[in-house]
Amino acid sequence: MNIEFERHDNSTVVRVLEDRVDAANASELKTYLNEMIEQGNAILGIDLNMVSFIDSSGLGTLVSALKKVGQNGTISLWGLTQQVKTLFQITQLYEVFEIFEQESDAIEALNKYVAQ
Amino acid sequence: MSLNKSLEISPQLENIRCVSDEMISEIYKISNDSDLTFRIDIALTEAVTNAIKHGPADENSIIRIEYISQGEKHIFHVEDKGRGPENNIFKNPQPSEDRLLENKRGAIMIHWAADEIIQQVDKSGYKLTLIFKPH
Repeated sequence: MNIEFERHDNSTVVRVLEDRVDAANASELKTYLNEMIEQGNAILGIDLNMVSFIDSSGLGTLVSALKKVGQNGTISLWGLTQQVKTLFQITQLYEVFEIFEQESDAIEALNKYVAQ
Repeated sequence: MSLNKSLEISPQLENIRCVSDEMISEIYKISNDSDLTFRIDIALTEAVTNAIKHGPADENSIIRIEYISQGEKHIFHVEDKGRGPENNIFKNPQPSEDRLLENKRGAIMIHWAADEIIQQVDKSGYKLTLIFKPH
């Protein structure tokens, strides 16, 4: 799976560089996110700009990461296409994650979280 | 223009991509409808993933996917040798009160995406029929 990450002062940005996140590659993403969180990166921004398709395994992977950061961190998402956004809405996950249109707004929210 | 196609895959998760590679792009070509194609992609991916995860895992087990174009209808049959999920799983599935629980998300997505869902179980296995129409 193609993933890039950037460490910022207070947070880590993960860019998912795949067109599809489905059962064929979701476990790879899960392993990657778990390792990031276990290394102390619990304030995560996930860029989904490249993702045009995500199935229940992909959504489950993001939920699993959110559960893993728990009270010690947060996860912000951005770059959702309209179709991906619809899938978050029908599964009622849209309210569970912090979802932003713009990366800059997501980073600002992550910085505010750190400052709290 | 119509297209009928069938595909047989062995139950490994990486084979899900065969379905999208060999069927979904063809359906977009004949329908030129991105909403319809997306709904088919979602429901079919979930159905085949379920068949791989929950059907028999022995090496002789095969999952068969058949596509029939019938006027405006796009009909898919996904067959495996298992017993399938509970028979009312697609009747208005709702997320758990705890939205972080994993269960039913796939069923919710299939229910949202497909216009008709038919489940059949007999001695030869489980057959899920998904029917889509343009909206």
